Amino acid sequence: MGPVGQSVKDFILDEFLRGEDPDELTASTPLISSGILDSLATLKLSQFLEQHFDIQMAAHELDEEHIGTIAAIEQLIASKQ
Amino acid sequence: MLTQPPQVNAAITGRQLAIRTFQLVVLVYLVRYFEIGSPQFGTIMLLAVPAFLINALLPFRYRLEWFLTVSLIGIVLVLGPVSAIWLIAIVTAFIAICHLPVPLGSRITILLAAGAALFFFRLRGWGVPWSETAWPIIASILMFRVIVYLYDLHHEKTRPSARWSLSYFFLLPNVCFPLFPVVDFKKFRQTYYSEPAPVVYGRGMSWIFRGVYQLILYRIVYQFVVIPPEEVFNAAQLLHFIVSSYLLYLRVSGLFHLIVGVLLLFGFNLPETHKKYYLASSFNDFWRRINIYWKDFMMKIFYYPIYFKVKGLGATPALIIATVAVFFATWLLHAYQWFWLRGTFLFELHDLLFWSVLGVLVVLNSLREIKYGRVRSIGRQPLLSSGRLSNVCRVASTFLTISILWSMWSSDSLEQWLLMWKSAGGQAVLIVIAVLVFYALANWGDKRSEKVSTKVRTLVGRDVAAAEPGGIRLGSGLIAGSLVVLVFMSRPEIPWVPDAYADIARQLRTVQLNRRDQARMERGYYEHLLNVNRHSEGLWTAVEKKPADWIDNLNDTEIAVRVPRFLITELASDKEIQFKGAQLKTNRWGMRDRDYPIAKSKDSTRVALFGTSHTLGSGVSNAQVFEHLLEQRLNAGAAGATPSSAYEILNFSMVAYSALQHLYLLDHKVREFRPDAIVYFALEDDERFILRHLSLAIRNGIEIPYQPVLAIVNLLGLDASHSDEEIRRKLAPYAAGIQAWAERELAANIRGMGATALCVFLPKVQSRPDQATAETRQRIAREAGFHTLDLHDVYDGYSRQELQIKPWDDHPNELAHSLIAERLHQELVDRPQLLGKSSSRIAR
Repeated sequence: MGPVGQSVKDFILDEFLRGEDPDELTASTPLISSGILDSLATLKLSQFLEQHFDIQMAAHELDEEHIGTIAAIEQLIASKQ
Repeated sequence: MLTQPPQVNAAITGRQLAIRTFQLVVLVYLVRYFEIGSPQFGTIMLLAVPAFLINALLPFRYRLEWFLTVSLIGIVLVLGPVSAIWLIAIVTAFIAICHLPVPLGSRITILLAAGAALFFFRLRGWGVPWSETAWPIIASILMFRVIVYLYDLHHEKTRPSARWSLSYFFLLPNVCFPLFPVVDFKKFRQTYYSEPAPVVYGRGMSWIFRGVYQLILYRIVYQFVVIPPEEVFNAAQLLHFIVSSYLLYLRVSGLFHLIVGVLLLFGFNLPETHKKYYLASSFNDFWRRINIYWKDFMMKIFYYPIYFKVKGLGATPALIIATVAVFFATWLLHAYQWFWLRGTFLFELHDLLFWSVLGVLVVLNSLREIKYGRVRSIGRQPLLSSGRLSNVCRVASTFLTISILWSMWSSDSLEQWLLMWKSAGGQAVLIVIAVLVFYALANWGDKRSEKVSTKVRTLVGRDVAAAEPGGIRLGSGLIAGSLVVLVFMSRPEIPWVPDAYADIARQLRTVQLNRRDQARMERGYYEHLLNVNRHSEGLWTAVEKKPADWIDNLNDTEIAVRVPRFLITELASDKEIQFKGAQLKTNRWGMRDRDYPIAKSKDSTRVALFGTSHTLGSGVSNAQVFEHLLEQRLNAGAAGATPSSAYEILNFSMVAYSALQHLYLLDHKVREFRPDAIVYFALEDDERFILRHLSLAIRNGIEIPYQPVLAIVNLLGLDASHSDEEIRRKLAPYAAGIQAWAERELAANIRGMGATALCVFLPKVQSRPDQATAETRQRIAREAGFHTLDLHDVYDGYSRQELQIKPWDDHPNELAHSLIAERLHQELVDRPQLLGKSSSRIAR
């Protein structure tokens, strides 16, 4: 997991999985199908990505393919920077 | 997230495949035994066994084409070749429009135009070359999937191949289920063998089993738990009604489990639907659990795009706007879906209110989650913790609140629902208090544990694999469970099962109407009130094939005339019409009968019949009505008299006549025909005719000529300003008393004119009362002064389907009338005193 992934992981742990074991959250942990990212959390994450990485998110990107895992988020950010 | 390429995941060992196939065979047996889903689904499941086996054995690259082929075969098997070809052509044309090399706006316009063309054909009932039953399937395939497909097409970098597009639209189980989850096109492709085949297949089996059990549970709730709103008079009954209304949703969740389960058998590893939704701990949690296919569709097409459009207003206003838009769209699209499935519009106040209230609750819940957050837990929580206990209270408050909302949504009208609460009186407040107490306890528990938000346990990493069925253990458990169900539910094959279970099993094997829906259907025959409730499988199944030009209500025909007297309606004289597909002809006296002189000849026995549509013979021709058949048989056997005149049976029946109308008829019309005997046909629930009749009389300002009845109406303060629902509900506690009084008067007046009074208990085709019920009804008639005759078992040995005139109409058919005639003849031969003085001439 690179620095981008680590930032995203820290955000998710801090916002949605407070008190949980950080080792349980890996780059391939499903975020949407597991229930970590529900609609509100997805919007919060999207807001964080836009502000933190200075990118523009699109509505159709809020799905499993683009933000389903930390690895997918890393790819998405890389494609936009 | 793909852990391995799909072609690697698709592999399965011979042993695993044998186990899964065996499980599937057990499932198919269960589905067919209990007629789960629909009869067509039994056919599809039979097709699914070899199709599944071949799919699993085929090289990976051919599997998608195989799924498509099986789906198309399924369509042909269920709809027949002509409708199937049209369906395939129409759907393919819509797919082709989505791919036209023109801008998105132009494609949307063309799709809307094509949709509008279909809309008008559906709305106007214009002739189409495909069968009526194909309409809901065509609609179900296109109405939402085209939207999702076009959306993904627009945003995807690569175009999907034709085999993916066609497979997506022609999903195998869709041909049996118009109500179908909105499968997402992207997920459909991405989840294809996204996990090892044994796991995906096992999960599919498990969901199908779950669907079967949920649908059996639904039947139990539907048949034995649900009570009609008219029977709610206190808080306990209100709670019973509210909770059972919500439990009826088991039908939809069961069907969705079946549907998604079947798709998993072919490798489409789609997400779980309706996950423990009765245990939702908040309104947002409920929305996230119940129909996630709909929720995801709404998120994708409305929620996220709208949020992004208005996020400049700030995160919270944008979230509120997006959520409100989602619930508005949900309401609108449900009405849209209803039109395509049923061919009529659904715009009702309580429908709008349901979605509005739920939308507001979800918005409030979202704001709370924004403020306090929502803690997720990756690991398991301890069984007993303050957080868990508060969650129990939260689940209870959510369950009760949604049950209350659901009961409103599934009521026939808002007025009916509100009157129910009013009838429960001050006690109804107890239910509201219970909700508030649970909610307060949940908050108190949260504060004690210093966790102010909902706990959810997420399944991540190895938990996913551990929690999902992949092995033999699951299959063995399911099969053992199924065998137990079968043992307890298949009395004819397994003689040691107690009779009580056998009776339940018989009622659960097929879809039957419960008391509430029987009443709804019967009211439809004479009151334009056939509200085919979304939540009633039985009623939906019963009326879905009814032709658009079918007339339920005889009062909608020229043969029924409205009169400004207590009778309210009567038959016109000397008329002939076609009603429910049969000839219906009246004589000069306004009876459905041959002609008779008003004066009776001295050597004949004249019998007058009083009854409702069953005795009138709705749906059979004049020559097939049991009255006519009985008269023929009696005269054929009569000795020493002119055969044609020995017995005259005059049919004075009229649809939905109450005992009060018969009493009025006796005094104002029948008396002058000087009958020797009057036979009054009683049904199990004649009191509903009293309620209907008095409601009509009161609302139309028609004078009630009977003082005791008028006294009750005045006591209750009922007048023309009251609605039908109000009048019925207020009069309901008095209906049995009025019925008994009317029958006493009837018997006394019959005897007073020197005639014999006979009451015959007649069962209905759709609900066969037991001997005890028949005995109770006859006791009341005997106490009123009637001789009695019990025909409660006259239909024994015949199914409802064999005796009803049409699947959507439960009036007795020609066979049922002949059975009644035969039995009546036999009874009169055996007990000649039933017809009074001349009956000694009855010959075998």
